[in-house]
Amino acid sequence: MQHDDNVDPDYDLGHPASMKSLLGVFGALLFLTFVTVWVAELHLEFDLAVSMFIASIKASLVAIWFMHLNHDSGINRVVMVGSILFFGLFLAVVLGDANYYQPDIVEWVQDQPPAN
Amino acid sequence: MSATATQGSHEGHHDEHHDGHHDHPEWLAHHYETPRQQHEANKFGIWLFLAQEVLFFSGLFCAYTYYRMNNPELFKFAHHFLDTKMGAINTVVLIFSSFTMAAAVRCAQMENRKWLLRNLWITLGCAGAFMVIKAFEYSHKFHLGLFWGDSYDPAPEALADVAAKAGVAVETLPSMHQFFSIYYCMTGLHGLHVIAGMIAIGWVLRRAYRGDFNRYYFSAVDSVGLYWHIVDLVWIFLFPLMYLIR
Repeated sequence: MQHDDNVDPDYDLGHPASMKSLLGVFGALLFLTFVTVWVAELHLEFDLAVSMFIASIKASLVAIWFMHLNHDSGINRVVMVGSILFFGLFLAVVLGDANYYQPDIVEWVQDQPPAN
Repeated sequence: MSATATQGSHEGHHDEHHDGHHDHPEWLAHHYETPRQQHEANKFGIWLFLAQEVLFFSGLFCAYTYYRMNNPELFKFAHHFLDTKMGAINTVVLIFSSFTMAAAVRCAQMENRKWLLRNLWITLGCAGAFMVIKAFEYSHKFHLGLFWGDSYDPAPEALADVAAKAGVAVETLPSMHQFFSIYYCMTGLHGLHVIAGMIAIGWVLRRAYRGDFNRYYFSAVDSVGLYWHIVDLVWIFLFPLMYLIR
C-alpha cells in the first residue's frame, strides 16, 4: 500500500465520464425513443425487426457510456457480452425445441374431446 | 501509520479513531490491499450480478417470444389496451433517470457532494414518477377487468373500444388473457426492480449525506448506478415489445 513515487495509481479509479458524452447519449436515447414510436405508427411489415434494432442501439449506448464499459476491464465486458450470448442461445434452443414439437402439440390438441 | 498516498487529502477518513482495526481508511475494507483492488473486485461482483439479471429476464423474454410466435393475432389486438403515450412518457422518465444516475456516479468520482445529492434525488424522483404512472396504468386495467389467466374478465366497453380500434367485430376478438399474463409478469417484475432500485438509491443517498464517498471509494454509487441502468435497459426492450406492437 506504500507508494514511494509521487504518482498515485488509485487517483483515477473511475475515469469520470465527460458531461458532454453523458448529455450526448441522453439526447441520442431521447431521439431514438421518438424514432421508434414514429416508425411504429408507419405500420411497416417488418416493424418488430426495426424496433428491436433501435432498442439494441439504445441498449448499447447505455451499456457503453452510462455503464462505463468503454473504460471497464476486459473481464466485465466478457461477462456482459457473455450474458447476452447466452440469452441468444437460450432463445434459440427454446424456439428450436418449440418448433420441433409443434406438430405433436397440434395433433394432441386436435385429439382432445371438444370443450363445452 | 503515516498517511499513505492512497489516503491522500481525505481528512476525516483516517482511521485513528478506529482502534480495533488495522491501518486502513474507513472506506477501504481491510481485506483489500488498495482502493483499486477493492474497486475492481466490487465491479466484477456487480457485473456478475447484472449478468444474472439479464439471464433472469431472458426467461421472460423467451416466454414472450414463444407466446407471440404462436398467437400473433392476440398481441396485435391486445396492444390496443395499452396506452402508447403512457409507455413513451415512462420511457423518457427512465432514460432521464439513467442520465442523472450516470451524472451522480460522475459527481461521486469527482467529489462533488452537492450535485451527487441533487442527481440522486432526481433519480429517486423519476423512479417514483415511473411507479406512479405504472400504478395509473394498472389501476385502469384492473378497473376494466383486464387481469391475467382465469381472472381475465374484460368489461364490454373495453372490448368494444378495442374492436373499434382494430376495425373488427367484437365477437371475433379472442380471449387475451395470455397477453395479460405475460404483460403483468414482465412489467410487474420490472416494477419490483424499480422499487428495489428506489430502496438502493435511498441507501446511497443516506451514505452520500454522511459523506462516505470520495475519489477512492464510490463503489456503492457505482454499483447501484449499474443496477439502475440494467433496469432501464430492460424497459428499453419492454416498451416496444408491449406498447408498439402494430
